[in-house]
Amino acid sequence: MLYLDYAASTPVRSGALNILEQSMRDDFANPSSAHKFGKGLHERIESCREKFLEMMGAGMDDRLIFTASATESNNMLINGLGLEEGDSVIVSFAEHPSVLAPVRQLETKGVRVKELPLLPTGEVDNEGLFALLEGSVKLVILNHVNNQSGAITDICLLSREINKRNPAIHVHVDGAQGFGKVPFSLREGLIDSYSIASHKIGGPKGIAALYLRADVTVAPLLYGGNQENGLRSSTQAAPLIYSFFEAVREAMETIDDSWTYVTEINGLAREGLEERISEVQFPFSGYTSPYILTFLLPGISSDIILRHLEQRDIMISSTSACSSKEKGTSPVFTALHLPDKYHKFVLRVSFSYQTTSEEIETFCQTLADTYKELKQLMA
Amino acid sequence: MKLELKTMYNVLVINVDELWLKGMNRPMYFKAIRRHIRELIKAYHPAEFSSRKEEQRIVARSDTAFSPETVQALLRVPGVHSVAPARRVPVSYDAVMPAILEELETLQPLPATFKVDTKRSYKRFPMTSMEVSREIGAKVLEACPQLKANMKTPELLIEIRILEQNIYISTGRLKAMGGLPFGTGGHLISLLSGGFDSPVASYLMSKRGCRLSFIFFYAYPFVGDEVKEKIKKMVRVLGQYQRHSTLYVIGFGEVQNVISKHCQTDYRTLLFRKAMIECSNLLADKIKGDALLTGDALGQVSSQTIGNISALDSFSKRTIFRPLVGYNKIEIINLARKIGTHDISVIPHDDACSLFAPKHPVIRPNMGYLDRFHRETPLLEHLVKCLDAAEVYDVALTGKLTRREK
Repeated sequence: MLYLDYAASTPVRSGALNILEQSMRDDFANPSSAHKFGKGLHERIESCREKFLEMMGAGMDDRLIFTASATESNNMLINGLGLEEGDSVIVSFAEHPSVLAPVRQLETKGVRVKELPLLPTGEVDNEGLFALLEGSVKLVILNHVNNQSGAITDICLLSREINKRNPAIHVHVDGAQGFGKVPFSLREGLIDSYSIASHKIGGPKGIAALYLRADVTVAPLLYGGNQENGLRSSTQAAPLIYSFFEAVREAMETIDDSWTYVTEINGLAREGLEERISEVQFPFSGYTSPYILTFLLPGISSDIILRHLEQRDIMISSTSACSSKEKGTSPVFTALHLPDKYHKFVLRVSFSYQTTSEEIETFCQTLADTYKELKQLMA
Repeated sequence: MKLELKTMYNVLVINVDELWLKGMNRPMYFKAIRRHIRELIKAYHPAEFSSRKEEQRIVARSDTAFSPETVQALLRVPGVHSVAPARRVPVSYDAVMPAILEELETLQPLPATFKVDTKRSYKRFPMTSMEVSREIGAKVLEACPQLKANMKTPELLIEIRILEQNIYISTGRLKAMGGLPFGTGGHLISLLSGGFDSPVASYLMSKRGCRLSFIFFYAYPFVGDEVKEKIKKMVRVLGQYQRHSTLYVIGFGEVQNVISKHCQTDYRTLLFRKAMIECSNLLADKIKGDALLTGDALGQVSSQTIGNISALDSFSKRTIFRPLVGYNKIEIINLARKIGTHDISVIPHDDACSLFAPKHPVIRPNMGYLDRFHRETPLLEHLVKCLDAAEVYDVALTGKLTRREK
């Protein structure tokens, strides 16, 4: 099978998998138990937490909470800041649903939502953003790497600039696609919170994290046994946490080498497609993550291409709105300034350090053949 | 359109349709419909029940009251003319009025007008139907002076049925599907698409007692599984008008591809339909189908011109039933609403036919070309392969689909 949908999810790294297996077998106590078995697990969780924060460049009293998913992390943060009627939130409409949906929920309670302006490349329109920072704004949500366009946001710079203009604004970063891939350190910015997904960087599913700056107050989503310092009651999933941490450790260790390698792969893919398919277009060509390559093949609905490729055991991604009620347009693509008529032609491939150049070659050739065949058929 | 009953009924009097037509076949038809009714009540009703033939009706009785769902499901049994949730009393004139008063109690507030209608099949009963109606009518007026009698268009119809062993009283007889019992009309292969027409055509033939096996041509990878899910949703409804049925999902993308590569663009859609008919006949050979069934109406889309319909017929070894051929679109849509398929039909989906659709589809095909194509591009092997690889679902009378293992 040729897998090119790493942005959706990734295989568990072998180190992380080994730890997960062993831990699932042996570390079955409740980390909140009073005996030494449980306490031992608890200590190790704390050690992971500390090292995790260190790797992120966090400050002394900053915190990291383990959650079950980045969706949970985003929901917790957005709902937990205590925003009220009259407050404003600035968020891009190209954001992931786990960010937009809780924000829309706040809107029903009278919180105002302002669209974070983007350039046609998908990058943030910085000046446009600064112009929106008036008194009622309490929260700005930045997308470290957008999962559709791949556009990278300079979260350190923007968080500092926002803080300059209004230190009361909370800056939250949705880091699901950026963490462990785009090198950065919290030390360089003034980021108030950051959500991380384990399964995007070779960790297991079912575990994630939320970074919180020292002075940030957030209300919990879950109440109960007061785990995670009262912020996220639930029995801590020790095996998942250890495995997650191992994946993070590995990802951080190899972050620069991976970046270089994947940049090459991305280049090969782009060239490979351009060479073979004259009609291919790459709508997002600013500062984008090499891990994501979005393109469009005009004339053939993306979901048809997806299904032809899957018949040949090649997995890529399409967010074609063909199956949605309004056939063909997606609000995310509209926010990314993609003309309506192109929405149903958008395809995305995403890579990892495991992607080989042979895979790219096979993918490009198969896609080109498929596209040609379909164009003839549907001409 | 959920049914609501004003009170709990332990008796259902089920009237059978078109009995006068049956003659020598009457016992066979009765057996068929009784079996269907029994299986249905067994599936919907949680308690023990009896179903007995009383004169020309089937009476279901249970210690546990029948739910509105059960009654509503009975209305979907082909051959049932009507269902009357009823009260049962002994065969005695004196027993009638108390039961009627109890019934009227549950109907508060009462409508303005009423009529009593009596049928007496037990000829030894001491009064005639007219006498009973008259006397009971008078008593009802006495008990409920606000009511007025109306012989022509009463809002409330009190029905008294005097049979040999029981008298049944009901006020809310419900009109059912009518037609002929399941299984008495032959076995049809029903070609289903996601539109309005084929489901309505299926309903019409269910009504005539036909057993249906549904066949859906799934143009994967040109369409995705939303279409398949839509068809399954459709069959969950249509299966409720059958005692049991089957759905065959045939992967047809490959066949459409082959046809498209070898034919003139304008003939594409027509040739797809031809292949579907051939495949349906192959299925009929396999599962003993008597005829095919489609939702074609005359002149709606290009493949339904009289020229194209005739051409397709010439390539089918079995008759193709087209019950909608005389219907207007509005009539079809209204019927779709009535039978519960309208809202499923409007669910948007990618239509493979329109993806391949030629700009100028042929309206009056050249038979010579079709014959030549038929000879030069044999599809038999492909069609047999598709059929063998079909996804098969058994459909229960509740509409539940169960995938058949290979």
